[in-house]
Amino acid sequence: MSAAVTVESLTKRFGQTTAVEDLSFEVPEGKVVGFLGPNGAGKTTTLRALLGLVAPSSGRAVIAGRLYRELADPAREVGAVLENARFHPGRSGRNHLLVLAAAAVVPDARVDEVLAMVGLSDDAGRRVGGYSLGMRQRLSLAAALLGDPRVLVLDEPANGLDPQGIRWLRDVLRSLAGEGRAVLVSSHVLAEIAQTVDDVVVIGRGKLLAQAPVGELTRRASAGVRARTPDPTKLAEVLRAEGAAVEAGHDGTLLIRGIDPARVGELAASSGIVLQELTQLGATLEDVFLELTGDSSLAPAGDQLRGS
Amino acid sequence: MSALLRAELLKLRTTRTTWVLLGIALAIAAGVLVIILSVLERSRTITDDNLGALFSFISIADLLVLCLGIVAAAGEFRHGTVTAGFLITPSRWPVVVAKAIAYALVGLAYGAATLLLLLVVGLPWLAAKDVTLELGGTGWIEPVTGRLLYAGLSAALGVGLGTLFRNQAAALVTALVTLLAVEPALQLVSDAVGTYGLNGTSAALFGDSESFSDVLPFWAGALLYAGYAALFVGAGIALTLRRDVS
Repeated sequence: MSAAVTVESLTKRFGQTTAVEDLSFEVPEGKVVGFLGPNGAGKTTTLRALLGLVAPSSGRAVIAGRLYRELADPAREVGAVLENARFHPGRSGRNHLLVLAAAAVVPDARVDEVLAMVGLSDDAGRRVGGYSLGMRQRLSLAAALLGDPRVLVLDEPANGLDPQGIRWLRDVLRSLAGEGRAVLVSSHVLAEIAQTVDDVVVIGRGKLLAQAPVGELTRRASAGVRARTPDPTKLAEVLRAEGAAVEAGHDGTLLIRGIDPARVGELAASSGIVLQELTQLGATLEDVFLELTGDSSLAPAGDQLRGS
Repeated sequence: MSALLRAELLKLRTTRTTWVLLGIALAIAAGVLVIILSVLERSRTITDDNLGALFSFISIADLLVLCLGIVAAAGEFRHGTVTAGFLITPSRWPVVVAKAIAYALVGLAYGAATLLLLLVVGLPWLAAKDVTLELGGTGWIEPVTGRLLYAGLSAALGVGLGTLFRNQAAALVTALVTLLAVEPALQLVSDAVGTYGLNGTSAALFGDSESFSDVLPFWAGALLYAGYAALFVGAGIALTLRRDVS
């Protein structure tokens, strides 16, 4: 069975700029995949290529094995929420959906259903020009759900949402995934989606940095140990012989990876090395994300990442 | 296509722009009609030829219907709503064709409204001025058909221009400068522009041989103007298929 979404060696250049370079990853059927990267990493371009809005320079992005434009009835197969979704300010939210429903041949009754699903029923008659950013995101999600699609592609759906909105979005993502839909959701803020996704795909400067289940990243995140000793050179030697990666920390400590703290203690004891400190570093998914995307010029502000 | 047409007709009904521009167009057409009728000398005779000239004057208001098509098509890019449409119809061209047809229908309806105005306001007024109508036989059919065609095709042409330019202001300025300044200037230099240009073609549609010296036959004018509309819609589609949508 083919994956819900497959990106194969996708490259997109805009003039001299390469937005996406040789990117490959998959979204399995029924899974929620977080698509992460700093702003400007190429997430939006990738998703637009997947949706047939942008023509790839090479490679391809397909949905259930087919290009978006080859889908027989795209609205019923893929729902998309694009970054900063835009609407005619003079049209009411309900009329906006009615127009899309007419084009997609979806019954008008479905419009009221999706409005209720996103909690916009009461404001549906108002002109979109008066909507808050959060309401626009909800309207955009309602539009994506019109055709009851199996695959959802959401580009930065948390942008502009307040904390309640983000919690609401998490619940929606969870319930959509619970219904067996495949969801590809992009974000530059890992914390917004970490609790909801099965896998994460991390990109930076248009290139794939990692694709792994969230659990694996968490394990990777907790692998660091900090040790303080009067004889760091000897300890490092002993640990390296055991296969650990050792770096000198900035304050005379050692930063050790690939080995757990208990084993560090045993090795130190058997070699007669005094340990003054042995700490399991409490690294978080955010730290892994920052480390992966760790280009300071591209990384988003730290306060955003550590916000939750 | 019928679903897309339904969507386009719903779109244009649900924005104020449509109603405001159509209202202004109708008001201008009514104004022109009132001015012509008030300066018309008493007890004269009106023939088929005069009908063409009258329609030519009234058609000044059709510029707004052209603008309506431009504003609607370029507005999809301005407001970003084009993306949602292309997601539902990724082949894209049917969206543009449906919009051109929808606005052609609006133009036709507007053209019919101006004719209705002529019947309701014009005929009693003419009767009061003791004017004799000599619209013998079928001579009125061509100008009346031309009146409807011109309004409908102008709106579709506007959709083509708006899709081609994507920028409302650029498309509007280009259209108005071409029709009101460039073409009239070129007509002074070349008779061909007067005959085959957009303005000359409209004269052929109304059978208005008073404003232009060398006017095409009705059917040729109708075909040529439909050709202009198809050309701009086609060019808009060709570019839309090649461009990335942001």
